[in-house]
Amino acid sequence: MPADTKIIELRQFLAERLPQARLGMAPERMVPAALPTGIESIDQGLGGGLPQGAFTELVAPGEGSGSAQFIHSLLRHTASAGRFLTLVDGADSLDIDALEPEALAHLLWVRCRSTAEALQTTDLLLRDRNIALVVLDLKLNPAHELRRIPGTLWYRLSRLMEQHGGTVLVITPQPLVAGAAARIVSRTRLDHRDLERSPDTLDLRFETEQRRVREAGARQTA
Amino acid sequence: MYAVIHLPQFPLQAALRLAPELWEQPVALVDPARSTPVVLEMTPPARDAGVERGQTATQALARCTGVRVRHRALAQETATTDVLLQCAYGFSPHLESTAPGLCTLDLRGLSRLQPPEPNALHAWAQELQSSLSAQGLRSHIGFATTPNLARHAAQSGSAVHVVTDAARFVASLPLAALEPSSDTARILTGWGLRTVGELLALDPAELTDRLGLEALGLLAAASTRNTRPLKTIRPPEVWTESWDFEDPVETLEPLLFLLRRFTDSLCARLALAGRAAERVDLSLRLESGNRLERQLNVPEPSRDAAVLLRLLNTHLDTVRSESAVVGLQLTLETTVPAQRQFGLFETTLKDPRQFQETLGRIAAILGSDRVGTPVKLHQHGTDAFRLVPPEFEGVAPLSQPRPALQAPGLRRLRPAPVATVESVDGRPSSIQCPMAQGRLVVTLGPWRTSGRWWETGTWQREEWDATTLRGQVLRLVRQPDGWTVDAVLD
Repeated sequence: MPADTKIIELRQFLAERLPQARLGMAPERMVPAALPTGIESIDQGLGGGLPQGAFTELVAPGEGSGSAQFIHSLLRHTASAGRFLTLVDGADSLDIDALEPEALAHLLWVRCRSTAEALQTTDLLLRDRNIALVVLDLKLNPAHELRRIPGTLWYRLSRLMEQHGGTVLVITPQPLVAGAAARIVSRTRLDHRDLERSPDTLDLRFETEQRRVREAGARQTA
Repeated sequence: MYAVIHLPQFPLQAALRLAPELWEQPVALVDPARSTPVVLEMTPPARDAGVERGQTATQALARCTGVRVRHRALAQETATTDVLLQCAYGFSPHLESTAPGLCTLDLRGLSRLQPPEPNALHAWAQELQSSLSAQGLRSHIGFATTPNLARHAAQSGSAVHVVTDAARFVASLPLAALEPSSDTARILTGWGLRTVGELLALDPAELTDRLGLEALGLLAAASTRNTRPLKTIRPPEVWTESWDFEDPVETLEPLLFLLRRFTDSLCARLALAGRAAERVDLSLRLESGNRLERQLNVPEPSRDAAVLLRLLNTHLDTVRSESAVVGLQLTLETTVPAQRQFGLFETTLKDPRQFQETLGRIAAILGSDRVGTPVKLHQHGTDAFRLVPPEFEGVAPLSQPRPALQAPGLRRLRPAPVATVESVDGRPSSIQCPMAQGRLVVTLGPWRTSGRWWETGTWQREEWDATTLRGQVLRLVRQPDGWTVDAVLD
């Protein structure tokens, strides 16, 4: 048996038998019940952040919805916490130039060319219990491809998340994800004047809706 | 002390190395290069059915209607020699490729064989034989104090033969072991000589008077003391397996069946050489004459056959060919495996092996240039980056978030769609492209950049930010060959 496999098994054994020892030695590695996004209005609305082990959907309708800015903020916040983010980029549209190298070092970027590729790779990632946070970005994918996604797919992926503990944020141009635990709706409208502004001063408006984890139907506007 | 590895029926072993189940069936090997192809070797069931060396294929079929006639493949024999040398190199660094199917090893310096006790030699030989057996090769190994004696011992028919009494062993050898010329062999047989011992009993001077210089060569070959320096070589670092199908293959299962054998064989050889695969080159030869070739990068160098096979399986799941497959070749590009110290508690991955496998499967679906961690390139211009394998150990957290650009992030369009742009007074005024049509109400710019004007690859671009009537903000780029939409604000 390879030495690294032995260590993995030993680590799992100790974590099960002596959870307090793990707590004492590596408190920063403890996984919270919700993953904060770093955007205050969203974290407050969702009770701390993206609910773990479940889907969250960010509906970003129309033009200038701020979804790209949201991804950048989420990556920066994740990198600040020393964690990693996996971006399944459905239309290969991430703007590398706007991100600092230190933030990019915390990114696993999966560059897809179609919705089918994005869903297939998301399925593979969710079967891997190493992946904590996946952003599935379908904002620029063609509407006819999105319409072909069977509703049962989301339930199947949900079961994978429950088994392996992953968290998935899906960015869509319209409500799409059946059974999402939380939904964020962008009310942001960026225009040419925002091109002159610093990203920190942009007026990003998001509306959150917690569905299953907290009070069902509770709605807050930020 | 020397050891010689002998692969009996070498051409047949080479032909059946990747199909060992054929040893249980009647198979005859013929050489198509000869004007009259005759049987060179045959499997035991074929021999039992009456097939003999020197028969034509028709005669062999007449003796045994079920015999499968296979052609001798020199490429397979070369590959088998490589396999033999690579396996032997894992046991001794001093080796000679003596002849096809014969490899001589100098055992001096091997501490576990000093002194060369018969039990230790047998144990060592069995390890070597099981290593060769894993490659589908059957071997005989001989040990002696000279290379020639060791060769005779290996060719004596025993699986392992340690020569302890050299004089007695040589005396018992048949004369044919000294490989005399046909004329000399006929003379010696006429004298009633059958063994080397009977030859050595004759007076050397009188023997030379009658047989000439060849007698000296025979006596030297029968010597128990004459040794020779080995022409030592390093085994070629070629990690290739190939196969030509008898019938065209249209489904995935036969390919995977063979690829499993390829990966098992190659990974066992990599383990002996202390190397790991970092890239897999797969080539499918089609019935139409074309080839389907694909290079698959292994995210983390590995010599785990299951990992490589899953990588290939994932890729082949997506392959659609114009015609059936008639040949297959797998080549591994290798490197020294990375050594990593795993901490007990401090890791960000629960199971690094599973993660590498996941990356490999994604790379097989999308291509290895489409998954990884982006690293910006140190050059001017936009959207310049490369992807590297993700590293989860020792990456410092982002201390002070500061956007690389003092502007909101855009969404890049890759590849950038071509646009038809009309200008008024040098400013874009309307656009026609798949994602936007009509008048442009606001235009900001131009921002002009250029680079590499001092060498080939010169570029220059003019950027404009334009808003359509629908409120869509586009980044338009004008280059010498026309307009494109590089990004949108979202």
